[in-house]
Amino acid sequence: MEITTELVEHLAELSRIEFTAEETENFKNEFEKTLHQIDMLEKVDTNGIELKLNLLDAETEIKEDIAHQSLSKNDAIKNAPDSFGSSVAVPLMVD
Amino acid sequence: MDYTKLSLLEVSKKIHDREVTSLEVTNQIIERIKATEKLNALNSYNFDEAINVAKQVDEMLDAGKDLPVLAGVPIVVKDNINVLGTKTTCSSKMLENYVSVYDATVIEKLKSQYAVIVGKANMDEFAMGSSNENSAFGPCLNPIDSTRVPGGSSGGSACSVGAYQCYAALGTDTGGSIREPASFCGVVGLKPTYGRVSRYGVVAFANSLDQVGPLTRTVKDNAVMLSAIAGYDEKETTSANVPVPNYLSEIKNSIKGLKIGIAKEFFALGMDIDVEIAIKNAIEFYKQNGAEIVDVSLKNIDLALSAYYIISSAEASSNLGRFDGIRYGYRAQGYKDLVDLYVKTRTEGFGKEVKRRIMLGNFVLSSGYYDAYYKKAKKVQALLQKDFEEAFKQCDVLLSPTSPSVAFKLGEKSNDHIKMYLSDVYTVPVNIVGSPAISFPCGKDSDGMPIGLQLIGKKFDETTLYTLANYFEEHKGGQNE
Repeated sequence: MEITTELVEHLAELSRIEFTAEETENFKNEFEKTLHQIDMLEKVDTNGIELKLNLLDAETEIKEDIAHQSLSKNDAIKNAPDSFGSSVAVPLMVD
Repeated sequence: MDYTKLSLLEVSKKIHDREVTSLEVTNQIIERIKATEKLNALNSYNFDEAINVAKQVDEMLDAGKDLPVLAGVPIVVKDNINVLGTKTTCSSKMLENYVSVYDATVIEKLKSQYAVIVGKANMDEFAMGSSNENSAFGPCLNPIDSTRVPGGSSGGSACSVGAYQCYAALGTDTGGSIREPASFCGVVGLKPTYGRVSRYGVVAFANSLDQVGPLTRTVKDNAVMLSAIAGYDEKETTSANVPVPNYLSEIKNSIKGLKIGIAKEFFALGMDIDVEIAIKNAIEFYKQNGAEIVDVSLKNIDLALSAYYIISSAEASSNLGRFDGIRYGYRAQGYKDLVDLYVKTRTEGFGKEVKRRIMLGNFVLSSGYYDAYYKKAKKVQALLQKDFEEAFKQCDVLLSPTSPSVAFKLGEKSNDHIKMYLSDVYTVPVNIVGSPAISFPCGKDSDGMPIGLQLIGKKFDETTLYTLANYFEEHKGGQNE
């Protein structure tokens, strides 16, 4: 399929990543190559194939709904770029 | 005496027999790490803590306490696995200053055996890459030829083991990230069955494909490491509740009657001539020593790489959504509002390959393309699983090269991402079907670079992989031959 600049810009917006005009153009070319590679799946007949949720054939264990000791508040915010007391601080969102 | 060149089992025996202290071994390893620093194998050192643990082990052993085999043995951990109090950067600017606030389950297990963690290994950013050139902290170099890459994404782990900076390392493998660097650095690397090892505390790339596994210089050392880290973990819902054997004692001395499957489609994928010769010699070796060689078919194998890039990128784009500059990690400065903060943080924090995969992932999951790409890839995954199930009805393991080539030169493929992706053509199908696979050295090319052989096993049958790999290593020679 043909990759347009608009599609790349749309994906960048979905990805919350900004590209310069030059990067967008480069990305467009690379993306075409990638899709050319993965488009080979198009021809494969997958009619009647059931989708599997899990790679293991066994059922996944379901945990009992019991609360366990988790990270302390202090530990949980230790890596926050900005914090206030025991909370993560974020930029002002509403005036 | 130089203890750094011993195997894990050898050094462990010397420590336990009190021929040498863990402290002396650890100090030698630290000196070795410093002397080989230019390889850039490690992102951070954990020397103070390592020395503390080594001293503790020595005290306990001197007091006559019986300790597990890994006690006092220096190891390295890939930098996407949380080790309390250490930086876990994933070789990304996004997590450059992130300090782990808990231990991953595999680390809890290693610490319960008193293993000595000496450092965190360099890698491709967020485990995305096949050469370790996608690290925000500079590429790691190949320990045999420093003009070449060590492979990736667990390049630092493989390099560190190959350069005698440790006796074992942990890596992670989503599409070949343990096996390809093991092959390039001439060491042994195992990707366990999906679900064999807990992923709790491991930074997710593609949850349905990721596994943690060991890299070592010998097959037996690898078996010891797997026994230490494997097992069910109630914190990790995809970990399997399947008993863990003692992999070391399960290794058999005979390979008579074992059936090794050769898929002609695998060989049609293309490989360098030296690799082909080494692989054919290995097949001949196994045949002469009593294994049965069986022709099998994996007719959809050429689709695996495409399915892999769709599925793994889809999961990655979702996983990396959490890096928004709010709760942890990098936060950009000079933003206008909240959305601008997200955009600037992600634009500045992620490297090129990571952005490429996020974009691809969002494409295959987006409205209008989901059925054609993501759903199609999941169906192709089911087809491939069927192929492997059929093949395993006729054989115990499948044999292939680990990579189509030996370690390539730095920069050789970094401008052609498709060429780079093709380095994983033999390893990716294994993650797609969830099987275990081992890579071990089976020869060298004309430049003396190691060639890796891959054996793929039935689910939860790592034992047969170890038996066959160990037989080759003991009778034909492994890393140092």
